[in-house]
Amino acid sequence: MAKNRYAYFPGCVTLNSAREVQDAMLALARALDIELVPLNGAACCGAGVIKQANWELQIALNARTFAQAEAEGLDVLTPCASCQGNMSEDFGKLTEDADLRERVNEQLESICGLRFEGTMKMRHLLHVLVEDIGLDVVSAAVKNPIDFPVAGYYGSVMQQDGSCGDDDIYDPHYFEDLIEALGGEPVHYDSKAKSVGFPSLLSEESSALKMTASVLSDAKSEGAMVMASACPLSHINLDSYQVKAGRVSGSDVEMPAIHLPELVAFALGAYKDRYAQLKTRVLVMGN
Amino acid sequence: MHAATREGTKVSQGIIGAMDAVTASSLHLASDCPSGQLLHASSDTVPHNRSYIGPAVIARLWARYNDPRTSQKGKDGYLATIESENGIKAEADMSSIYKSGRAWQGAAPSLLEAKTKTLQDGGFTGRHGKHVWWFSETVKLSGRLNETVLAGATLGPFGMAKNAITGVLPRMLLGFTRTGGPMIRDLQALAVPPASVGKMPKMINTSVDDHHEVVAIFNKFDRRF
Repeated sequence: MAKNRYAYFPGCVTLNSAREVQDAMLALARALDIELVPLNGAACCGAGVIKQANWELQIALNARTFAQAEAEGLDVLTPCASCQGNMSEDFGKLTEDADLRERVNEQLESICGLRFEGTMKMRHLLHVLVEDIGLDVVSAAVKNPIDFPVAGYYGSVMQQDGSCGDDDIYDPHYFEDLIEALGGEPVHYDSKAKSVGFPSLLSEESSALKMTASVLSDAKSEGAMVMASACPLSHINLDSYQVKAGRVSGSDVEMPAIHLPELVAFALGAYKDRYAQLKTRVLVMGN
Repeated sequence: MHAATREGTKVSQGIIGAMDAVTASSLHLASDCPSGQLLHASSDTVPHNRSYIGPAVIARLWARYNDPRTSQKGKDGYLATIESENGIKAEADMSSIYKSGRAWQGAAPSLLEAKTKTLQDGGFTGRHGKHVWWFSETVKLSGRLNETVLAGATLGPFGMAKNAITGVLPRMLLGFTRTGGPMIRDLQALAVPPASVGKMPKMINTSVDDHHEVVAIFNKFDRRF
């Protein structure tokens, strides 16, 4: 049995349009002796969208996931910053509000025979790598050092009290520490924890695209050649909508955008062909 | 401010309006923020949308809307501003405000309540309403978000066509900016539907285990979906 076991909550996008995150997660877990116990019955975290219609509904859905992890006696690990932020917020609400917890537990017991007790924790991959595995262990496992400047993107959802582990809420540094441990050169830029407006990408597109362009151009102006995102949802803005964001804002935003788990998996020697592909894109696009 | 007619209490200084302690506390909490300017600046949307009235104004208007001292005419006016295109709908991501933590403990939930009211009053129509509606609906259907249905239902055929022209769909379809494995594997999906195409999300989701529990939770907490 692996030393580090977690209930694995990949998030909807990881299992859908961002399958590369799932590939990378499995590879890095193997390399770092992490056991990912699947939560096959877990539902979507609501991504802060369901709560706009009914917060209690979103909390109840997440309470079911928490209770499933508690039944395994494990903390929940997710590679998605949006899931981490939203689920941590709902976890906090459930632990603080006894009436709400009782209402939700009453329904959970009758529907799934589970109760939320608040014994587990929500963990993002970034915090697990730094706090549980240790950067010295990660560094020792590196086979292909990252040899270009990387901008780590945290997003705003995870940077809340109770969601970001022991990292600084306002001026986080875990991502930069990790990039250094992987042999890369971390790029320090102001927008690393700013929102790219993902929740409103489809409804308030103009603002979301300008916010996306602002983050990308800030990182680029500080010398980044690649952006690695801790959030697969924000990655949709940063990658798929990159050209459109550049057009709307009129700024230079062209840069390969990958996911945090990919960066780690590549450095640990997995998917050499994909890493070569990324290096080619960095060479072609330059800075 | 259009004041409402309400009950008063006779005290030695004269007659003053009365308010129960719970309402008074909730009103204080709703506008509990150390600085309106800082609350305004905490939104990451504000610098990119000059028409947006901002979270500080919305939080203040929401507190006044819920204030029993405000007349119906006043409430209607406040709500019209909150629900306008430059009101709460213009806030692209409320998490940037939550990020500021305990300082906005009261004001941040007010913004969420204002958004919920706006969506309900609009009958979940328009892009904002459809986005929230279809997000929730697809989660109920399989336990997971269906990105394809969400994008199609929210943007509509014209929005999808626009994305095809502006390069979003080709980037997703071909996956040429991604490092997610050989493209040929994804193209196989073309021959075996339903499945994803390129880096496009799946068209039909498989359900999570014990999906009936998810449906039951939806039915218990919100039967609209």
